[in-house]
Amino acid sequence: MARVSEGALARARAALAGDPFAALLGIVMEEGGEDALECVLPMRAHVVGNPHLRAVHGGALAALIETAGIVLLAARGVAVARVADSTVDYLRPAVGEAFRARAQAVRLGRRVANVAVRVWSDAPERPVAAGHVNYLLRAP
Amino acid sequence: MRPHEWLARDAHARQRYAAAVPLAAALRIALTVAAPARAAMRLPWQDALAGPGARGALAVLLDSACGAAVMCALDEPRAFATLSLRMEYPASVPAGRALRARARCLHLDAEIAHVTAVARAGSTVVARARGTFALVPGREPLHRYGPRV
Repeated sequence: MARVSEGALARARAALAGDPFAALLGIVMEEGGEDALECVLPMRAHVVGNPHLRAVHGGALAALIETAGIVLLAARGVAVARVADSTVDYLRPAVGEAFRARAQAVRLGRRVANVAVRVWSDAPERPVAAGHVNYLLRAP
Repeated sequence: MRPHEWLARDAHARQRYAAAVPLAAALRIALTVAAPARAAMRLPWQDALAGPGARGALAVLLDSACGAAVMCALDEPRAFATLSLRMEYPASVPAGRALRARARCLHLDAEIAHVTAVARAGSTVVARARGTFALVPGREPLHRYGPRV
């Protein structure tokens, strides 16, 4: 299994550590199998949006998705200057013990990156949310 | 009494509305204005908003404000869920200032609602959102009329 390189991991960790709201939500980073990083939002009382369902707040999932893209790009040595926009579809009630976000670069250009992110709880084929984000990149 | 009337006339009802959502409560988000199909919310400055942190907080603020605008468009409290949320970030968030959001429900029928929202720091627009919400028949509403305090 191809592992994520130490350098890529360090860059990704630094990018995540630079986001205090991700820290407030409790987002952590994990190696998610072959050459992939996942951002994980553990279910905790303060991230709940709907206490009847015990479902995560939609805004927290949007934050997770935007963060997962930044972490992916950082691992590839690409620094994000700003987020232009993001679009999130909420596919199922976000209930479960932890929410894993896997990001994939759809297009990585010199100035703009488009990243697609899928979030799931129990199984990747049952996503609770899916989104895409347009990032403006910092000149290398 | 419709939800917007109830929320407009009773500060405790507005307080309970925000407190019913744990993440909104954790961020000290307040429902400041309720009017027909419109709502405004305030997010006080906090350290978690610094730098890139502001975006995630803005997504929470605008999703919440959009939901409140749906509530303020309904004839009675009903359950609804976010179907989609698009966020745009025209400017970075200056440190130290509270963020204020206004949301307006553009369309509501028996099944869905479309909502637009804007967040400002002072007079600077720092985020815009478009949200689509689905009404969920048969589910208990998150917010109910409570006793007046």
